[in-house]
Amino acid sequence: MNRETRNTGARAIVLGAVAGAALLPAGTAEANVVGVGNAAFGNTCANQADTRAEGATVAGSGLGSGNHAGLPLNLARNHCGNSGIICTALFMARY
Amino acid sequence: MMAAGTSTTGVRVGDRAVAEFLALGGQTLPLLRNWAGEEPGNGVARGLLTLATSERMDDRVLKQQLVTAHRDAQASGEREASLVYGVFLHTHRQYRLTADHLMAHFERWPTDEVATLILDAFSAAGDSAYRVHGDALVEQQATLAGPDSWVWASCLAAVRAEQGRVREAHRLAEHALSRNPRSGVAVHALAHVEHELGTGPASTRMLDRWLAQDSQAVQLGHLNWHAALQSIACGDFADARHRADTALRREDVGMRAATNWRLMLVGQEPARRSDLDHVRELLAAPGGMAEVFHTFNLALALAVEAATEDLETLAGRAAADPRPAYREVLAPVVGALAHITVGHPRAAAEGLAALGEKAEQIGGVRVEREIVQDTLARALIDAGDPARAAALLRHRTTTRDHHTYENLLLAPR
Repeated sequence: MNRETRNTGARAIVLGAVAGAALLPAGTAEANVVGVGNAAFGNTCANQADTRAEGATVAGSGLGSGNHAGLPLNLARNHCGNSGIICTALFMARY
Repeated sequence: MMAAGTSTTGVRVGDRAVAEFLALGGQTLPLLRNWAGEEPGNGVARGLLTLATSERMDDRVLKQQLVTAHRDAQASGEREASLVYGVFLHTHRQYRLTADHLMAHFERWPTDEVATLILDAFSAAGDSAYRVHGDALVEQQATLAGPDSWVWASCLAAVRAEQGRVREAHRLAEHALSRNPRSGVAVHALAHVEHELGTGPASTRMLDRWLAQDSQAVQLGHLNWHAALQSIACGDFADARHRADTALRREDVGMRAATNWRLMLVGQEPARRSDLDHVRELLAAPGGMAEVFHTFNLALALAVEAATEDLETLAGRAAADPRPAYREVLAPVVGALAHITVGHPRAAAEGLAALGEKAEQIGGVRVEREIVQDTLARALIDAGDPARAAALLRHRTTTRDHHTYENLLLAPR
């Protein structure tokens, strides 16, 4: 199993990611987050062979505990396949 | 004296860059570079340039650029910082996080058109729940934005096309193009709609006219691929091969394979093929099997090369994969391709037919997934079951204006 998908605290990071999230009514934002019930980390495109534990490192960065000012720099860059352009990702493979 | 960043037309270079990027126009990169060069302290400029070019950046440079962009964006405002944060998540291909971030972003800054540049995160997240939420978000935001926004009309057209609501999608795409004739998102949605309608030569002419006005359009290769599919639909196989050979690049392995496999299913010569070793390298590279639809595309490339052993190996790896889409869908699909390459259509048909609606888990979008159905129809015909094959394609043969391709799929060899 991809270790990324086990981090259930990541959703909080995303909520906090919107600059000034502290100004948001927390309930309002949370109600609109897709990841409820899903693991917020992980995509089908995450490299399953990669054993990096982004969840642990990000949680350890303090972002999950309310420091929303910075980027989650410990977040790893996923691999997502390489067959060229597909309909839903046009510009990414172009440049 | 002109203000910094303002062109002779009075339009700020930043506005032009954003509009060009949203339209997927051919001047996107030069304009973004101009903008970032003229305003080096503009975090959004640096962030969008990074978004457009991140695929060529190593991880260290990517992070450096976005740290600077985010610092500068924070000085500009909360929306700007949030945009760059979204770009950070997107360029790290953390699509679920990106999608979650966008939900909150649009909550605070409704109808923010710039944020649509990373909206594909919802479909890239690889979870149907995310796709559904993304669709709903676009519906909501397009309503809020109103008909004057060609950006949101284009996005909604794309959503409706993928939902199969082709008439509505057609109307929305036409409307978006009436507001901005250079909307690449709208013309792409129109290409999807016209595929569903089997518009044939009228669609290829429309795409050619649109592309002729921008030889550097981001979608040059991709829209030519759509045009090639229309040419296949109406039986102009030479045109399909010509487009594949002239518009697709070496790295467009998936589109080349998807064109060639269709041609081969109806007994036609393929266009120039991919190098088998290149396909093997792509599969073996880091992340080569990281996403199910890309992996499927590479399997199609193996099938075009009749690389049966490679396909069998790939099917075995997919069957052993813990991800359900790989184990339960990709594995039998790749196995079926292997069966076809050795002339066992009945086994292929049994494997594909058993999938039913689960075949959607192969990923991609309707137009892209259709090739699985094509393959099953051909296998059924070759296995001596024309009635099931005809039933499988009836929705296409009875609704598409041009369906020579479908007729040939259903013709005994």
